Amino acid sequence: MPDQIPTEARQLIHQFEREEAQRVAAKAAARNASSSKEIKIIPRRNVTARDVMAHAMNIGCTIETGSGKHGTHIKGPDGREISLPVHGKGSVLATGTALSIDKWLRRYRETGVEPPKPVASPNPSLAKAGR
Amino acid sequence: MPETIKVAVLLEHHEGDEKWTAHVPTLESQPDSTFIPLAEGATPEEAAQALVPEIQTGTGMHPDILPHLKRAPQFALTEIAVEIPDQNA
Repeated sequence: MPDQIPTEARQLIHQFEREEAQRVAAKAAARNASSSKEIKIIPRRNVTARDVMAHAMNIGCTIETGSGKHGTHIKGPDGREISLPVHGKGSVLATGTALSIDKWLRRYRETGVEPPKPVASPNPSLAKAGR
Repeated sequence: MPETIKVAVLLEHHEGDEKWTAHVPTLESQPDSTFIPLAEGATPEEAAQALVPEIQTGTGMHPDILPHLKRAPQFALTEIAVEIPDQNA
Protein backbone atom coordinates (compact mmCIF):
# COMPACT_ATOMS: atom_id res chain seq x y z
CA MET A 1 0.00 0.00 0.00
CA PRO A 2 2.73 2.58 0.91
CA ASP A 3 4.16 2.09 -2.56
CA GLN A 4 1.01 3.61 -3.95
CA ILE A 5 1.75 6.97 -2.24
CA PRO A 6 3.25 9.37 -4.71
CA THR A 7 6.87 10.40 -4.02
CA GLU A 8 5.91 14.04 -3.58
CA ALA A 9 3.29 13.18 -0.95
CA ARG A 10 5.75 10.87 0.83
CA GLN A 11 8.26 13.73 1.05
CA LEU A 12 5.61 15.99 2.52
CA ILE A 13 4.74 13.33 5.10
CA HIS A 14 8.42 12.95 6.07
CA GLN A 15 8.79 16.71 6.33
CA PHE A 16 5.71 16.93 8.56
CA GLU A 17 7.04 14.10 10.79
CA ARG A 18 10.43 15.85 11.13
CA GLU A 19 8.80 19.16 12.04
CA GLU A 20 6.45 17.47 14.48
CA ALA A 21 9.39 15.72 16.19
CA GLN A 22 11.27 19.04 16.46
CA ARG A 23 8.17 20.75 17.94
CA VAL A 24 7.72 18.00 20.54
CA ALA A 25 11.43 18.15 21.46
CA ALA A 26 11.33 21.95 21.84
CA LYS A 27 8.20 21.71 23.99
CA ALA A 28 9.82 19.10 26.26
CA ALA A 29 12.95 21.23 26.62
CA ALA A 30 10.87 24.28 27.55
CA ARG A 31 8.91 22.25 30.08
CA ASN A 32 12.12 20.97 31.68
CA ALA A 33 13.52 24.48 31.87
CA SER A 34 10.41 25.86 33.59
CA SER A 35 10.27 23.05 36.14
CA SER A 36 13.98 23.30 36.94
CA LYS A 37 14.62 23.66 40.66
CA GLU A 38 17.35 26.19 40.06
CA ILE A 39 16.15 29.54 41.34
CA LYS A 40 17.04 32.31 38.96
CA ILE A 41 17.51 35.51 40.96
CA ILE A 42 17.04 38.62 38.88
CA PRO A 43 20.24 40.59 39.24
CA ARG A 44 19.58 43.93 40.86
CA ARG A 45 21.85 46.82 41.53
CA ASN A 46 22.59 47.29 45.18
CA VAL A 47 21.66 50.81 46.19
CA THR A 48 23.88 52.44 48.78
CA ALA A 49 23.19 55.38 51.07
CA ARG A 50 25.82 57.29 49.11
CA ASP A 51 23.92 56.69 45.84
CA VAL A 52 20.69 57.92 47.41
CA MET A 53 22.33 61.02 48.88
CA ALA A 54 23.88 61.96 45.53
CA HIS A 55 20.57 61.48 43.71
CA ALA A 56 18.60 63.39 46.35
CA MET A 57 20.96 66.36 46.22
CA ASN A 58 20.79 66.31 42.43
CA ILE A 59 17.04 66.93 42.53
CA GLY A 60 17.15 69.74 45.06
CA CYS A 61 17.00 67.90 48.41
CA THR A 62 19.42 68.38 51.26
CA ILE A 63 20.98 65.81 53.56
CA GLU A 64 20.76 66.34 57.29
CA THR A 65 23.37 64.17 58.94
CA GLY A 66 22.40 62.40 62.11
CA SER A 67 23.17 63.38 65.66
CA GLY A 68 23.50 61.08 68.64
CA LYS A 69 19.75 60.71 68.92
CA HIS A 70 18.50 60.42 65.36
CA GLY A 71 19.85 59.25 62.04
CA THR A 72 20.41 60.90 58.71
CA HIS A 73 17.41 62.50 56.98
CA ILE A 74 16.74 63.61 53.44
CA LYS A 75 14.96 66.96 53.42
CA GLY A 76 12.94 68.09 50.43
CA PRO A 77 12.83 71.72 49.22
CA ASP A 78 9.35 71.96 50.82
CA GLY A 79 10.59 70.89 54.25
CA ARG A 80 9.32 67.30 54.19
CA GLU A 81 11.73 64.71 55.52
CA ILE A 82 12.39 60.99 55.29
CA SER A 83 14.83 58.86 57.27
CA LEU A 84 17.88 57.51 55.48
CA PRO A 85 19.20 54.58 57.52
CA VAL A 86 22.95 54.86 57.12
CA HIS A 87 25.26 52.16 58.40
CA GLY A 88 28.34 53.58 56.73
CA LYS A 89 27.80 55.54 53.52
CA GLY A 90 28.81 52.60 51.35
CA SER A 91 26.45 50.17 53.02
CA VAL A 92 23.74 48.67 50.86
CA LEU A 93 20.18 49.67 51.72
CA ALA A 94 17.56 46.99 52.23
CA THR A 95 15.18 46.67 49.29
CA GLY A 96 12.18 47.95 51.26
CA THR A 97 14.13 51.00 52.38
CA ALA A 98 15.40 51.80 48.89
CA LEU A 99 11.91 51.43 47.39
CA SER A 100 10.26 53.67 49.99
CA ILE A 101 12.87 56.39 49.60
CA ASP A 102 12.70 56.17 45.82
CA LYS A 103 8.90 56.54 45.95
CA TRP A 104 9.23 59.52 48.28
CA LEU A 105 11.81 61.20 46.02
CA ARG A 106 9.51 60.84 43.01
CA ARG A 107 7.61 64.03 43.83
CA TYR A 108 10.82 66.06 43.57
CA ARG A 109 11.91 64.30 40.38
CA GLU A 110 8.52 64.99 38.79
CA THR A 111 8.35 68.61 39.85
CA GLY A 112 11.71 69.04 38.18
CA VAL A 113 13.42 70.91 40.98
CA GLU A 114 16.79 72.01 39.68
CA PRO A 115 19.81 71.88 41.96
CA PRO A 116 21.02 75.32 43.02
CA LYS A 117 23.41 76.72 40.45
CA PRO A 118 26.84 77.85 41.67
CA VAL A 119 27.18 81.62 41.89
CA ALA A 120 29.37 82.89 39.04
CA SER A 121 32.62 84.33 40.32
CA PRO A 122 33.40 87.84 39.05
CA ASN A 123 35.72 87.83 36.06
CA PRO A 124 38.85 89.76 37.09
CA SER A 125 39.74 90.71 33.51
CA LEU A 126 36.29 92.32 33.02
CA ALA A 127 36.56 94.13 36.34
CA LYS A 128 39.97 95.53 35.34
CA ALA A 129 38.63 96.84 32.03
CA GLY A 130 35.90 98.69 33.96
CA ARG A 131 33.03 96.80 32.29
CA MET B 1 4.04 65.19 80.52
CA PRO B 2 5.51 62.42 78.34
CA GLU B 3 2.99 60.29 76.52
CA THR B 4 3.57 56.71 75.42
CA ILE B 5 1.79 55.77 72.22
CA LYS B 6 1.51 52.49 70.35
CA VAL B 7 2.65 52.73 66.74
CA ALA B 8 1.81 50.07 64.15
CA VAL B 9 5.01 49.02 62.39
CA LEU B 10 5.33 47.00 59.20
CA LEU B 11 8.50 44.94 58.94
CA GLU B 12 9.74 44.00 55.50
CA HIS B 13 12.50 41.71 54.30
CA HIS B 14 13.48 40.64 50.79
CA GLU B 15 15.55 37.68 49.71
CA GLY B 16 19.22 38.56 49.50
CA ASP B 17 18.97 41.56 51.85
CA GLU B 18 21.09 41.73 54.98
CA LYS B 19 18.62 43.89 56.84
CA TRP B 20 14.93 44.29 57.61
CA THR B 21 13.14 47.57 57.03
CA ALA B 22 10.71 48.98 59.59
CA HIS B 23 7.96 51.16 58.10
CA VAL B 24 5.07 53.14 59.60
CA PRO B 25 2.29 52.46 57.06
CA THR B 26 -0.08 55.09 58.46
CA LEU B 27 2.49 57.75 57.57
CA GLU B 28 3.67 56.25 54.27
CA SER B 29 0.07 56.10 53.08
CA GLN B 30 -0.36 59.83 53.70
CA PRO B 31 0.67 61.64 50.52
CA ASP B 32 1.18 64.88 52.45
CA SER B 33 3.03 63.47 55.43
CA THR B 34 5.76 65.85 56.53
CA PHE B 35 7.96 63.08 57.88
CA ILE B 36 8.44 59.41 56.96
CA PRO B 37 10.42 57.45 59.52
CA LEU B 38 12.32 54.37 58.32
CA ALA B 39 14.79 52.15 60.11
CA GLU B 40 16.81 49.05 59.40
CA GLY B 41 18.00 46.20 61.58
CA ALA B 42 19.49 42.74 61.29
CA THR B 43 16.31 41.29 62.83
CA PRO B 44 12.68 42.47 62.82
CA GLU B 45 13.01 43.43 66.48
CA GLU B 46 16.18 45.45 65.89
CA ALA B 47 14.57 47.26 62.97
CA ALA B 48 11.49 48.09 65.03
CA GLN B 49 13.57 49.36 67.96
CA ALA B 50 15.72 51.47 65.63
CA LEU B 51 12.52 53.25 64.65
CA VAL B 52 11.90 54.59 68.18
CA PRO B 53 14.43 57.46 68.17
CA GLU B 54 13.46 58.29 64.58
CA ILE B 55 9.82 58.70 65.61
CA GLN B 56 10.77 60.67 68.72
CA THR B 57 12.80 63.10 66.62
CA GLY B 58 10.16 63.18 63.92
CA THR B 59 7.33 64.13 66.29
CA GLY B 60 9.53 66.87 67.76
CA MET B 61 10.19 68.45 64.37
CA HIS B 62 6.85 67.57 62.75
CA PRO B 63 4.15 67.38 65.47
CA ASP B 64 1.48 67.17 62.75
CA ILE B 65 2.37 63.49 62.21
CA LEU B 66 1.20 62.52 65.71
CA PRO B 67 -2.47 61.83 64.82
CA HIS B 68 -1.37 59.57 61.95
CA LEU B 69 1.07 57.71 64.19
CA LYS B 70 -1.78 56.86 66.54
CA ARG B 71 -3.97 55.43 63.80
CA ALA B 72 -4.28 51.67 63.53
CA PRO B 73 -3.98 50.36 59.99
CA GLN B 74 -5.67 47.13 58.95
CA PHE B 75 -3.28 44.38 57.99
CA ALA B 76 -4.28 41.11 56.41
CA LEU B 77 -2.20 38.23 55.21
CA THR B 78 -3.93 35.39 53.46
CA GLU B 79 -3.30 32.62 50.99
CA ILE B 80 -5.13 31.90 47.76
CA ALA B 81 -4.96 28.92 45.44
CA VAL B 82 -4.06 29.88 41.87
CA GLU B 83 -4.01 27.37 39.05
CA ILE B 84 -1.33 28.35 36.58
CA PRO B 85 -2.17 27.20 33.05
CA ASP B 86 0.50 25.19 31.27
CA GLN B 87 2.24 27.82 29.17
CA ASN B 88 3.73 25.15 26.93
CA ALA B 89 0.51 23.34 26.00
